[in-house]
Amino acid sequence: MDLLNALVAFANFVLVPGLTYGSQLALGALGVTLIFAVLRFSNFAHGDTMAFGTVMAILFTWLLQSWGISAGPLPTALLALPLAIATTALMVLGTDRVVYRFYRRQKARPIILMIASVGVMFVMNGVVRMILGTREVKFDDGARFLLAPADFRATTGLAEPLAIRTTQAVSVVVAVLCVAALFWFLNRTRTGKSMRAFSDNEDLALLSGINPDRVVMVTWIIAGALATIAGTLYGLDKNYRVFVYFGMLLPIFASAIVGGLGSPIGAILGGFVIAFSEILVTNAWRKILSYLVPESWLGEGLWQALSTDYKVAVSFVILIIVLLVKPNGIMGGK
Amino acid sequence: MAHPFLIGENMTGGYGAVDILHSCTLAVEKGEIAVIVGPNGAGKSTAMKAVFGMLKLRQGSVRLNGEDISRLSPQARVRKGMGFVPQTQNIFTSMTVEENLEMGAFIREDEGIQDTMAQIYDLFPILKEKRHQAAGELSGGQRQQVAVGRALMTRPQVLMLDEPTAGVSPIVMDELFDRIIEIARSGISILMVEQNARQALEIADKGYVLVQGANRYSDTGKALLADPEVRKSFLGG
Repeated sequence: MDLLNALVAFANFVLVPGLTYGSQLALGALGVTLIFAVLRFSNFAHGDTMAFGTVMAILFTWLLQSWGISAGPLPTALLALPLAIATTALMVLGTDRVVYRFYRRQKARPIILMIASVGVMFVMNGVVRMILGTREVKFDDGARFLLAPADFRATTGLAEPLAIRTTQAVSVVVAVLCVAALFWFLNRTRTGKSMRAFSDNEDLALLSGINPDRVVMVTWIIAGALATIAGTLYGLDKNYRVFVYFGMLLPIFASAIVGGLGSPIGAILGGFVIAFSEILVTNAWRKILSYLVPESWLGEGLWQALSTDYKVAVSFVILIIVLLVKPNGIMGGK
Repeated sequence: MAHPFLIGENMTGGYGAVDILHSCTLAVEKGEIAVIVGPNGAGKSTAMKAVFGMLKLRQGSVRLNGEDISRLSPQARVRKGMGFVPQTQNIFTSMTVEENLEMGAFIREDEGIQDTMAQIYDLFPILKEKRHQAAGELSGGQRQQVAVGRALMTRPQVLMLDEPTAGVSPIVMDELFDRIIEIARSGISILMVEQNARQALEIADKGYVLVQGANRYSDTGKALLADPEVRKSFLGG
């Protein structure tokens, strides 16, 4: 029974949170990687685009709640998502019109577009703070648990509980749906294929009559949608705070780079690599180990490699290792 | 031959301040093969790019079927019925062979795209076999077939090829030339730049020898091959 308890504890503290966080990072990294593939620059404003999308989701959630509309056991924010995505898409298209289009017409180098995106990042960060301030906002509602720990214990008779929160299940399911829809779009539709063609060989795409403005527009809309969904799922799971989203930039870029910038499959793989690395390194293993070895062997410590305060360092170290050893990432991006 | 089907006449121009082409003239009739040869740096590719509108002309004009297209962008010329196969980076490497052909037909709105694709698979049977494989995984000769096939998807009246046999083996080169003859027989005019001058002139209805951006010799392929001057200077004896 001890091995079973260890496995349940592992699932509860590592597997479920890792899958949840990995799904959220994967969606964020997909947005970064798409922008990189098509517009050929690293969009530093992506974290704050996520924050903006989440703020919109929160505002629309409150609006729906004030009208008495809810999604039953699911978070109301899911109903607010389409509206939030539409608003965020308009915002990123506006940003492109005001900022990036100018540099594109000048045929500016990627580094210049990247620096411009840092400027956009600061502006968007300010805008977002003007709307909801810097406070923490909790906006998940509906049923708290898909699988409540007490129920699990009662059913299995194990000492160790397993909990799956609704927001965790929602994160994984929504991410799977989004990824499936995105790959269907990229591989099966004419517009999606023209995006891949444009990313693959811009000159030949122009020669084939593909309209670059349309490709850029569709890319921004998809990136805005992915950012909104990723941000909202993360906020439902861990509450919303603008600076946390700003800080998400590092793990998201690490995910995209580990997987290979420009590769959608790489972004998903990278998301899970980063998420599980963070959790494996910052998890306190004492509880899981206590089921496997005699208590006396473990001593006093928590068996935690790194405090959770330093979890960003994990992304950073992985990023450095990947850039040193395999700079093109797992899937061999650009 | 008062009005050749496609003619770039007295073209003068370059990429920057310095002219590369000096009053260069290239023409091709319907269903014929015209080949541009000449030493390295003679402006062969530049001359063809000028015909396709990838280079600003200071003087001269380009006419397709009697219509002056000198001011049109390359994209607009594709819509007018010109197909262009660049020398390098002429395929979408990460996309399948079939997707490459589909992208070639991007500007077409009609229902006949599948028929054109079937014709291209008849012309290049190997592409049908590999249609679900990424084009970047194919051999050099097969990549060129994809590139030509992509350009044919718009059903062009003129096909322009920039060194289609660069970097392929002699056997593959013969095979490619056979396919190019076949394309020309279907009524499509071919204008191509070639390094392998002798073999290219053998299949050419018309040959242009360019030197320093100007016409040196212009004649039928056969006549150029027979000309002792041309043989000595440009065909290695």
